[in-house]
Parts: sequence; C-alpha cells; structure tokens
Amino acid sequence: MLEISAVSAFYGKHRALDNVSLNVGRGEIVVILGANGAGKTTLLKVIGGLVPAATGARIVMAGRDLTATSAHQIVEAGIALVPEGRGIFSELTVRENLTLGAFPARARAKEAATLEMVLKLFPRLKERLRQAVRTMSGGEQQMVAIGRALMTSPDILLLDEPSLGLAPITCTELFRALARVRSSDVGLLLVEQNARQSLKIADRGYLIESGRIVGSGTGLALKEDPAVQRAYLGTGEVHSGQFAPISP
Amino acid sequence: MSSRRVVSVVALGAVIAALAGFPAIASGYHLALGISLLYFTVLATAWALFSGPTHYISLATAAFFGIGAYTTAVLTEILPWPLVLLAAAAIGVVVALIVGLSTLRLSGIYFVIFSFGLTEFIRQLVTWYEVNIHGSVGRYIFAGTTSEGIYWRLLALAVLVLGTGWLIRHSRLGLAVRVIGQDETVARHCGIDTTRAKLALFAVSAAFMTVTGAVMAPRWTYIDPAIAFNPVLSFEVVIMALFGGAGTLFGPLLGAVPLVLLFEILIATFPNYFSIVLGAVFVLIVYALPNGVIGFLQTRLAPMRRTARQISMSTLAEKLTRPVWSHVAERAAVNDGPVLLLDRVRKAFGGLIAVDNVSFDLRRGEILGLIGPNGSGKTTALNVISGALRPDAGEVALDGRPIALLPAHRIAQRGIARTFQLVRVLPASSCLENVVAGLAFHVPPLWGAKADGRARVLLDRVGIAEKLDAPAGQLNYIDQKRLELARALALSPNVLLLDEWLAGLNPSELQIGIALVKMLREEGLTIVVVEHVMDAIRSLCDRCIVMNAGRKIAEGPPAAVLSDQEVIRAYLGDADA
Repeated sequence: MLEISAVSAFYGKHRALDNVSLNVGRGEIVVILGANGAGKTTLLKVIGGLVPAATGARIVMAGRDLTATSAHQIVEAGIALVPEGRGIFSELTVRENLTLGAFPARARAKEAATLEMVLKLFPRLKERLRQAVRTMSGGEQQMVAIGRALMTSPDILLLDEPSLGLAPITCTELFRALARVRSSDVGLLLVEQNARQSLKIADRGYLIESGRIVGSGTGLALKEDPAVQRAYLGTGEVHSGQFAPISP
Repeated sequence: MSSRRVVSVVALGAVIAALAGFPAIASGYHLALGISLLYFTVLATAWALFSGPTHYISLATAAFFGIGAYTTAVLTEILPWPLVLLAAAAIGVVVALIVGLSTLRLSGIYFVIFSFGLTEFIRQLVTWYEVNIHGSVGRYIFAGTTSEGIYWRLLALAVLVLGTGWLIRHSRLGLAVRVIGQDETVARHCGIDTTRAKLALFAVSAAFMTVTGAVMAPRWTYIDPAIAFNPVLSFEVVIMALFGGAGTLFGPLLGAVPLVLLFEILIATFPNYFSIVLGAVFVLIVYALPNGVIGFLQTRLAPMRRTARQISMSTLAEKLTRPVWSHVAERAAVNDGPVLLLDRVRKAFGGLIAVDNVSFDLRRGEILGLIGPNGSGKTTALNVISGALRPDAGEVALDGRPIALLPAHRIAQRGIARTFQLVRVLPASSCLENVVAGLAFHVPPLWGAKADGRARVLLDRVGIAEKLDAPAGQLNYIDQKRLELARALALSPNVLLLDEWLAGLNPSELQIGIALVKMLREEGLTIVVVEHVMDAIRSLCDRCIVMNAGRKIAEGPPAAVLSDQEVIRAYLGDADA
C-alpha cells in the first residue's frame, strides 16, 4: 500500500534520515523501534509531507507518487498522521475535533459512518462528545487524536508515540484499540518506545539507528532477537551498533 | 577593554558628535526632518523596551507622549526647564505604575484594547480639566526654545534611551522580560516576580515617552488635547518598531528612520494621495520583508545556523560518572522533619474535584513516586506544590513553613524546582540562557560570568554542553527534557518535582535517566516523580503514593503498592507496561 524508498532528510547540515526504505501493507501493523534522535519522528513527518525529503526519494501510495506533495494532499491520498504530543485543538469539543478530521474530500461522504466507527472503537468519547478536549485526561486526549486521524478515513495511519504519558491500564486499552483499527483494513505505521506492547501487536518491525534502517523482521522474530531484547525490551545492558542485521 | 570595544566606543562617539553638529550645517527643513527622525526613534525604541521582549503590544504611546506635552504646557512658566522634564518623567512613571498594576494581568488582545482606550480616557480627562477648571481648551507654550535646542535634547534622549536599552538587555531585568515574553509560567517557576519585572519596564518605557512629549511640546506654540493625544502616533510607533524589529535594540531605529523618510517623500511627492500610496507601500514592505529589517539583515548576514551535534549515549553515560557536583547540599537544612508536607489539600476546577483531601509527607532525601491513571490529579498536585495553582483548602508546608499561599516565584526561590509534563523550554533563547534564567533569580542571584560558567556545568551535567549556543526550540524532544532539568537544577533546589520526565525514553535511555535521578538524590535532593513507567518507579522510588479520581488510594513501598488489588484494577490493568 505505502512504499517509500531511498528517503533521506536533512535539518540544515544534519542528516536526520539516510536512505530509508520501507513498506506498509493494508491491514498491517508495522512498528519502528529506535533511540530518541534516531530519526523516527522525522520519518513520519517526511511521509506526512511536513518535512521535505532530499532528492532521490520516492514515496508511493497505492501506485501514486506522493514525493514532494503537500501535506493536505497527502491526507487526501489516504495517509493520516497522529503527531507526537497529540496536536489536538484543546479549546474545541470532542465532536468538533472529530468533525474537523472529516474535512478532506475523501472523508466527507462517509463522515457519519466513520464517526460511528470511531465512537465504537473508543466508547469513552461517545460519553464526552460535548466536552472541551482541554479538560480531558491524557488517555482520552490521545483517543481524540487517533479518532480525528481516523475521521479522514485513511488507508494508512501514522502514529508517533501514542502511548507517551499514558497510565499502564490506558496503554493496554490503546494497543487493543490499535489492533481493532487494523481489523478495519487500515495499515498502521507505529513509532513507539513501548517496544514490549507494540511488538505484541505488530506484524512487522524495523529498527532505525542514526537515521538508517539497521534491521527488520516480523514482530515475533524481533521480540525473540537477543539484540532487540537488550536494546528495546530492557532486559540487559546496551551498546550501540550491535544489532545483527536481519535482511529485509 | 578589548581593542574591538575601544573601536566601537570611539565610532559611537564620532557618530554622536557628527549628529550633534548637524544643526550647524542644516537648513530649516532638514533640521525639522532631523527632529522627526529623532523623536520617532526615541518613541519606537522606548516602545520596544517593553513591548519587544514581553510581546505585550501597547497602544498607549500617545497617552504618555500627550501627558509629557501637557506637563510642559502647564509647568513651563512656573518651573525651570530641567524640573519640568523631571516632573514629566515622574508623572509618566506614576501613571504607568497605576495603569500597569491594573492591566498587566490582561493578556493578548485585551491589553492592546485597554492601552488604546487609555489614550482616549486621559484625553477626555485633560479636556474636562481644561474646560471646567482652567477655563479654556487650548494652551499657548512660550518656552522660548529654538529648533536646535529641541534637536539636541532629542539627540541626548535618543542616546539615553539606547544606552538604557543596552543596559537593560544585559541586566537581569532584561533576561526576566525575555523569559516572560516566551513563557510566563516558566518565568514564575524560575523565581521571577513577573508583575514587578513587567511593571518596572513599562514604567521606564513610559518615562521616556513622557519626556519626549515634554521636549517636543514647544514645537507647537499652541496645543490642545486633540493635538497632544493623537492616537495615530501610537500606531506609527508600533509600525516602525515592528518594521525594524522590536526584539533587538537597534531594530526600532532601523524601522523609524526609513519610515519617517518615506512619509516625508510621500507627502512631498503625492500630497493628495498620501494615504493610499502609503497603504500600497506598506503592503509591499510586508510582502518583501516579512521579518522586518533586522530579520532581513540577519538572514542575509548569517544564512547558516549552527547545527547541533548529536551526542552519543556512551558519552552521556560517561558524564554521569564524573565527579559529583555539589551545589544542592548548601541549603540542606538541619531540620529532621518532613521536607514537604501536604495536609488535606483540595483543588477543584468548577465541578471537577482534581485533588480531593490529599495528605502526604516527603522525607528528606527520598524519592517519592506519585502514580495513578491519567486525570487522577497528579499534575494538579504538583501544580499546587509548585505554586502554579493555589489550593482551595488545606496546607502545604516546606521545612515546616506554610507555602500554599505564596506565589510561584517565591516558592521557586524557597527551593522547589520542577519540570513540566509537556516540555517547556524558552524556544527562542539559547540553551545557555535557558539555564541562566534559572540561576539569575534565586536568592542570592548568580549573574554574569559566574552564571555562565555554572550554566555550562549544568548543561554538561545533563549531557548537552556542546549545544549551549543553539536555540532551545531547535533541540529534539529528549534534549529539551535535559535542558529543562538543567534549568530546574539551576535553582539549587531542595525539592525537585519531575513530571513524567522519563516518559518517551527507550529502555536503554531510561537506564541512563534513572541513574541520573538516583545520583541527584545522592547529592542531597529530595525528589517527587510522576511517572507511568513502572520500571522507573520500581527502581527509583522509596515510596509510592497512588492517586485515583483526586484521592489517595494507596501508599507504601513500590512492591507493595503495585500488587495492591485496587491499584491493579484502577491503574495497572492486566498487562504491566
């Protein structure tokens, strides 16, 4: 569904991404693991059109080339981003935030049906449709952010650390909800520090280090990989550059 | 004094001398133009003294200018001239203090509207006085001042306002208002008395505007309130300062000079179409120079922003094993009782009780975990402790002394420092200045080279020493968190409140973060952590408080608390993250 190849990105002279290639299929959960500063957020921003990719990159969605397309057209093409720190409109109500999500032309006709789907996915939001988002807890705000992205009726959902700052119980609920999103045929590209829970629901994963993809594999293979366990599952000491490259 | 500095002082002296000699060669027209240039320069610079760093857009320039003009009109025949100027400055300061006390709480558009209304209000007041008490609306001014005299006075005033601006920029007051302009909450938690700082600068700025009015008044031999309090003046000054660049010392000058010349040329060339041509020119200017003259110069002169180098984790781990830094212990008290005590604290937002009758104590040198579901009141509890919020009921005591009713900056000065759940750095300031903001306002303050040195140590301590010149807004999330910690440590606190400081770290980074927090405790800090990362809670905390729906539902060592049935049901769920 989404295929990116040879993506590099720079902040000034600093190379944030170095020749990254990956793909996400329909109904698939793909997780990206890596240290802070490795380029995970930048990768999502490049795909979402918020950071320009260097020349030579190709971002293709369902056969359509999206390289150098502006952010709002990328949403129309079916890619929705849930940014780090949520980026919700805190003075608006839950319903207003969700309705805003359905602004793209591709989503308008289906708005009512999508809303019903989102509220089924996050029943908590149904009780709070008229509440200002500012007054809600972190977990509920994260639901609004994901719900708003889903309202664009995307084929691919990009999520930047959705579990950040969530209580363990809320975190578990969130990952369950993400697994349910997959069952509606949406592909998920997930950046997470919570490797334990994200690998549990992931079909595949990529390891990223200093802007480069250094390994990839199925969720299960990564979970069993000793190097991944050491670095991301917190079961031992870490040294950088020790990943056994798993051929993509 | 470095040779470079000598050169610039000499050059500055030469420029001033040349400007002072200008009336000798100038025609009457050019002298009048020189007066216009100087008086707008003084007003725009004075305006930017306050509005530049704080971002409070003031439209009260005409009010202060008019007060000055009227002071001259009323007093010039009674008092000698220097006393008239002093009286004008004093009246300006008093009005600014009264107005400031009642309005600087207003934010954004409300302050703009009020300051605009102020001009009209004072104009009406003066008109009423003139009609009912003085008996006629207008006044004649017979000061006997020549145009040269006015020019020289304005030149002196321009030198004075630029010099004052330079001094303020390099003073703690200047830093305080730069911090306030970027984030008032952070400013208060750095120990800055935000009301006082804003008032002081507003008054200084107003004094210059009033004196300018007083100096300019003899230009008109006749004034009435409509001339003295002309609201257009306020807008012109704002446009000039913004056009030049209100955030810099010479920006307003660079805005005032070309715009005054432009007005002159347009009036001379298109006397009948002045307004419409001016409007068109403004549109073109905004289009061509969206960041003002200074912004344009800066992007032209310095196209390359230094890019921050990435630091590897191994270097960071090394830093942590460096000699222990010991600034904290200095203030550690002899008292054996709890460092911090919360007694039946309650805080409600409308109908929602965020913190409901919560009591706990914090023992010296311990790490206390504050955990609970999202929305259970943890951050509100921290906000009450740090003074960001005032509790509705209950008491908070630091070392046995009540602090619940103290403003945030006093609490910060007493030794409680914090980080914020959503990182709050001062994005436009360098990393160094971010940390100096934490050093410069506690008691006793650290300032100048000493503060810079100390800030370097702290930046090194959290692993971002090589980024000290980078604007904080350019740092990535994790480095911003480090910077925020350095700023909190700069306060030399006894108690450190960490609000999800470890969130968003991967397991290996988490180990480094945990080691850092442990080391801070060993150096004498007492720490409260709000966290959802159970690995961190288990390895860091001596004790945990669990909150749910505003209430404390459990308290004890992590192992006991985390196996409590109610805690599992409300917070942990079946899968431990």
